[in-house]
Amino acid sequence: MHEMSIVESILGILREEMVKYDGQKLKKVTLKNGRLAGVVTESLQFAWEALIPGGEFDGAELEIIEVPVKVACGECGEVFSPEHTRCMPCPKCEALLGHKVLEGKELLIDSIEVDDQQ
Amino acid sequence: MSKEVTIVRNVLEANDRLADELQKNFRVKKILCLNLMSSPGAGKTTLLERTLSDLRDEFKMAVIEGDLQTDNDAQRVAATGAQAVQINTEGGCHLDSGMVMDALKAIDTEGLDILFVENVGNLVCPAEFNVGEDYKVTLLSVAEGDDKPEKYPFMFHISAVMLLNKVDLLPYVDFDLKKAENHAKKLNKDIEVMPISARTGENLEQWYDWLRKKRAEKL
Repeated sequence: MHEMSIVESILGILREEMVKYDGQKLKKVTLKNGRLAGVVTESLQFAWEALIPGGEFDGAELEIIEVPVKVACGECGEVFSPEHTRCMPCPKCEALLGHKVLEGKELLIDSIEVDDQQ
Repeated sequence: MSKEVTIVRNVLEANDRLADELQKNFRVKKILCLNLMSSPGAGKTTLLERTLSDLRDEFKMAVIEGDLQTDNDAQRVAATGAQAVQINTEGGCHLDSGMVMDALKAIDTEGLDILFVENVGNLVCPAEFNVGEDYKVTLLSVAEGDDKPEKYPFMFHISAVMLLNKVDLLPYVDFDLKKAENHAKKLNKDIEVMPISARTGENLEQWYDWLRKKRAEKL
């Protein structure tokens, strides 16, 4: 359940960012979770809901956008989105190994929504 | 009124920043740092006991021990004469760079050649958090089943070495060495696979040679 410490990391970044919006309230956070990031969306949401109430971000919503995997074939360079994360045959040359991951590994805070109403 | 602001910041950036700092420190001091990961009971501590004893005259080594509770493992490691520091995660499922940084304060790094970080036994979470290591080393014992690389892909994808431990038990368990190796190589074509027994000492020379090589590369 490392999602708990991941939410702690998110809170650390939010505290830094919110300094810029002195006195305003955090309404929503949008997070991008790549399918290869090793982070379970449901567990993250659960950890968020467990840690947020009563704190400075009480009531803030967490939206998680799951990012599909996109790779470039290691043999022929074809860019494709594999069906499975475990086995990724290239649709053009059928190579299985050595693909370069272009998208799907990221775990990013993408944007926040702040409200000037206290 | 509310407004949306684009931020785009990596969630694990704080950990990665500390990991970079640790790595820089290890580079300057020429310390080889290894992050040792496995499920509970795969034999990390036994491997360390053996390694620390066998290479005692060759290298100055230290261990940072991660555990949910108790300092049993740190005591076993310290009995070999190596420096050992315990981190209790109090239920936490992995170590992070901040914990390693704190633990390092209790270690005399002067003239240290190799630092082992024995992560919490768990094939999932430790893979996500760098601890300033040069390489990740994963142990898989043959009692656990040859499908583990397939079931826990990320761990094997990012490891430089897969040690297949407890090969002395092969006559008693259904474990296909080739199958485990093939799965691991499918995930990571560069992974080095070494079948060993930390208990009997079988094939440990291959592991020691790897340590010697990687240590020499840091000089």
